[in-house]
Amino acid sequence: MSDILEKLDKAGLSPKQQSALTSLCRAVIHPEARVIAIVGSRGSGKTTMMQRVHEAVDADPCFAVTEIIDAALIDREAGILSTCIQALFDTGKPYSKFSETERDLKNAYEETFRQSLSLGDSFRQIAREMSMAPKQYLSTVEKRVLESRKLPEQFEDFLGQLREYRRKSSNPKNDKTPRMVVFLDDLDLAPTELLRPWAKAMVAHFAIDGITWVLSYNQKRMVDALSSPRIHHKKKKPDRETGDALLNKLVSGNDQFVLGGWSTEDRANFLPLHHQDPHATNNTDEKPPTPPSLQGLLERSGNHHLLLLLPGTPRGLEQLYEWLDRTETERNDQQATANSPAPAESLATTTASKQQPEGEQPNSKEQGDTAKYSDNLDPHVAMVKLAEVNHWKSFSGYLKSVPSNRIACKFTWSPDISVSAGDWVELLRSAKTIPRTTPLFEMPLPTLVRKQWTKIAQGEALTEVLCHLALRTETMTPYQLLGRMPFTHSRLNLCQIKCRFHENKLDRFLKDFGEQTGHHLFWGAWHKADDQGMWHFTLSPQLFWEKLLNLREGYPRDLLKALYYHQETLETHLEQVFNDNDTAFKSQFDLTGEGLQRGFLPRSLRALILLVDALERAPWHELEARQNHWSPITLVQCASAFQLSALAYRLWPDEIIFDCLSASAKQTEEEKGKSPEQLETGPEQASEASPPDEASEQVTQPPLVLYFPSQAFSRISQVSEQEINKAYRNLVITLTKLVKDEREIIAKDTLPSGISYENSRRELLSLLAKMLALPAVKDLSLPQSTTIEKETQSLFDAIRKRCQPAALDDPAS
Amino acid sequence: MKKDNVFMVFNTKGKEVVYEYRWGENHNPKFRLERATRRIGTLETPPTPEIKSYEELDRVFLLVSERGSGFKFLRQWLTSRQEHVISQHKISGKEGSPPKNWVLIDGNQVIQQNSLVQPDQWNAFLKQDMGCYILDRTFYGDNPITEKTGSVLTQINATVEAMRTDPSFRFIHASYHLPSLEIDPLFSNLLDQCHVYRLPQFNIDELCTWLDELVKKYQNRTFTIDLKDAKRSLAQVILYSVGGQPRLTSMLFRLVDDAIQAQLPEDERDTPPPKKPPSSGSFVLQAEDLATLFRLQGTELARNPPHIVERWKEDLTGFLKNDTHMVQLLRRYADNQPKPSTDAHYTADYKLYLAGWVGFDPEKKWGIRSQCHKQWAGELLRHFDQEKERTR
Repeated sequence: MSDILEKLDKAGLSPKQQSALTSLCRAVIHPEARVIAIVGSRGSGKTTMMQRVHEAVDADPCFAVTEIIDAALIDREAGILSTCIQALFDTGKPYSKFSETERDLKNAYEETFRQSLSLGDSFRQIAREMSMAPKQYLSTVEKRVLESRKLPEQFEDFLGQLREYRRKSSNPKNDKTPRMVVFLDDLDLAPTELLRPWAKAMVAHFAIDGITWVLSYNQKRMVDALSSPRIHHKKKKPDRETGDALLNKLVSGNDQFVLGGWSTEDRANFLPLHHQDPHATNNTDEKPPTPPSLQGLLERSGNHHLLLLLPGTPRGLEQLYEWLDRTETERNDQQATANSPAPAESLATTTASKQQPEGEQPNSKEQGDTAKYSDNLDPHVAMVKLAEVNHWKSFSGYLKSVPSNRIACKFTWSPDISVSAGDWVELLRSAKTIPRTTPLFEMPLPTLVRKQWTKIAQGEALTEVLCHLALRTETMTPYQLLGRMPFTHSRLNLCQIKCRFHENKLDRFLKDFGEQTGHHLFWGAWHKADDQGMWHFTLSPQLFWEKLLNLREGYPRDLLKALYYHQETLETHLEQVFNDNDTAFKSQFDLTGEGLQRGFLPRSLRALILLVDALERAPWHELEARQNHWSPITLVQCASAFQLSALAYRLWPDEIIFDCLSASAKQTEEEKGKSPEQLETGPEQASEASPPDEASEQVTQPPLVLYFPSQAFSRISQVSEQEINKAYRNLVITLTKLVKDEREIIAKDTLPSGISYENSRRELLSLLAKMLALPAVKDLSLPQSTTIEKETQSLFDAIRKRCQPAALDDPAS
Repeated sequence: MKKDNVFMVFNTKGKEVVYEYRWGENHNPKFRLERATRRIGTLETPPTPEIKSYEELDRVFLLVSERGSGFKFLRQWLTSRQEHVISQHKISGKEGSPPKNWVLIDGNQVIQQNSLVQPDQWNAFLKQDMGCYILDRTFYGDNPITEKTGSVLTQINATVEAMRTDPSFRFIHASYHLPSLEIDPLFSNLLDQCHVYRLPQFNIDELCTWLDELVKKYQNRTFTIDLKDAKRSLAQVILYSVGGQPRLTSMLFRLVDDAIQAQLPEDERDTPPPKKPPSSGSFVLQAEDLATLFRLQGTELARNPPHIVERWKEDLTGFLKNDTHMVQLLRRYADNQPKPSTDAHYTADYKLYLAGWVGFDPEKKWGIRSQCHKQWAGELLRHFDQEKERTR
């Protein structure tokens, strides 16, 4: 027995498949096995499994095995059972000499075969159709009934003879008669009307000792075929219950081996079977290069985001793999031909090849994308292929009319969608998982996906992939996405500080900070309150982003007007600041402008969700509660510290941040002159194992961990961008280097539950102190409020310092 | 009693005295006055700064100024000059009755008739006794004209009219600019007959003498001041901050003085400057340092205005309540905008000028005089708006 299990060919199978194969085989060779079934959907590897078992069992003399019968090819007239009987008889071939036993066997076979042909045919029906006389009719039916009762006996007889014959023919000394094993593949594809009578007969008579039936079918279709049609039902839907019962009678639950969908990891590591021929490696000394996994292929073609949508069946995976492999070689060939000729020609061919894939889209930005993806596979083409492989008909139809990176622009969520606290936690948990091959569970689906494609694909995964495509190619900005998702929007709405200030107080505040005032006004929104002299000040990251995207005017005209802002330098300065901001941000964050990888919000759905969560955890409301003790500028300071920590803290796991930092620390020394856009490389790219041909490029690009609005902060604090980048890096380093315990304490404090209401004041102050004491926040050199006295004192201190040498020299002279 | 809101210097005897800049005393015998012109606020007819010797002074004129602008000094100057005339008269032995010195008629006393006993000067005036009279209505609040006061004013009016043409008659009507004066029988009548002068605010040259005093005060001390050639630019800073208003200037200098004093060692404070420089050497305040100091203390002053500012605001509010145009104009000026070119009404400008808020700013533009004034005008307007909303 164990020989057979050892002989099983497990090459190229995943561990899961291997164990499934072993247990299947063990069930087949069990002495009391009657009917064994391999259950699975189309392309899930049933046939492969069956073949492997067939191979192993066939080699063993204890078993006599039929060929694998493809039920799809069974002739309607012949019927299933008769085909099986024929196959059984064929196992004894060749019948060379017609001995007596052989003749007997043949007679038994012929008789059984003949009887089995009429299995399931209703003789009453036949007789009625032939309009026989009643007597004749009855006798025909009677004859038939009697005959059909004989069939099991005959079959048993035939089987006994066959086994005996097989025993003798293989090894006369062998005292053990072999078990017969019938392999029936794709049973659900057999003619439907044959299945029910066959199954009934099987249950009644043919699941007997000495023969094992190995079947493979698709559960759903099989049940449908076995169900009796409900005549009175309007739509004549079959009664699935009867089908299910019959199937369970046929194959006991224990003997059904279900081949489930592949896990996401297995999908990613998929390798087609023919790529892994073990004999090839054994024979030759030098190993051929191991073929890349499906993940590797996708990454090489720049479509790693599609990992989420890989089909769950090996056949689909194989199709995709082969297609990717083929297109890659094609691309390589194209490049090779493009590189070989003279430079002028090559230029022409490359431009032609660039324009070819997206020639129909005249948008300049799209062309920029193609330039970027020129080495890569067009993501849209890959998406179409994926839809095809997955058999998503409606989706691939949609893809024909709308480019895949545009679909996410059509996403809307119904405004009353809300994510409960529990679901939100789950969503965050799945957003944090590494590697990112699990979809975002509990992610509310956009209307388009929910209505049309939930049945065909994992809606969450599809949503994420489509968003990814849109965000990467800038057909949608992260801010737009945030705005559309009502569930994140409602959370962001909580991340704000609303304060009231009196005009007189404001007058002083704004004067105190002189030239830097404008950068702070920029953050918030000012509204006049109903009561006299009071102003509402709202501060939130959202408002900040809005201003950066130029969605609102940050210049608080009304406020300044009410304050009679007349300090000339200040006012001109303010205008200057706002004009500068406008022009700078217009060029940097222009939605219609060219260029990829710009912006300040992370370009990933997961990162955005995590950012929202991190922002939500910052103690906005506690800060708001203490408004009397803060000037608007302190508030801005705190708000920016919150946002900083939110970006740094929760966006990516610490390991990634730390890896990137340690990688970048070496490079920054050499690359100080780099522009911030080049520094802004997403963590995904940074953490990816860079392919060898791009390694040199990677070295010249020191990755900054996150998208950080350093330009915006530069405007605010009037510190050069480089310094802010440095400071920011410091902040992240500080956060990652903090001892784990300390980090937990701060993280706990940041949680809303971490602040108890009794001690809120003390705890808030300590929390803010912690926030503001972070060296990087200090390094941002946000202005501090000073008094005239202090300034005067510092003036005199400066004079003292300056005159010190002279004062000392004087007495000597 | 040592006041804490005025600039103190040490006199030649080493005694600490209040420093008072007097026109006509220190350098020249002339007094500076500004004449309010018809279309004030335009560069066509700006207020003319007129430096007048005693003889050139109009015989009858209206003197208008804000509170705390140094009317007392003018009076002292007039008296001293007249004494000079009298002594000249005696020396030359000219014929005729000798000129009399200036007589001050307390307007509060005579017009309101608070006291039953009328002073002798008043009676002499009513008898049309030739001489030099100052009608001091500067204590006079914004009181409505009653029948009683009206009759006294008419009386004065008639007397002035009778004596106006006589060369030995001199008359100065000194007052603040208040809403009730606009329909005051005496004031409005005189407005027709003579010029309106305003007491001036310090200009750059005058502020330089203040700075000289400051430098002098810190000679041979641990902290000395070295202004070199930057005196005028420093004066510009002061002008920018307080606009040269006498009371504010004095207070600003006091604040700066205090700030430097605080840096001196204990034994050097409140003592006259020593003859020799200190043996341990000294720290030198350059012009830039002093400019920063003036700017800082100017902000301090704007934040903590002297009490007189409340009176100025009160006086101005009286006008603002009745004159929307004035509010609009002040709003514009406080907002650092010029008067619209289409606005050809100059009454509001005239009133604001006389009340001491508006004039030429350091950059020679017509607007609110200084940063302090701007700050206070803003506050005043905000308060005014809020009051208006409350009563709506």
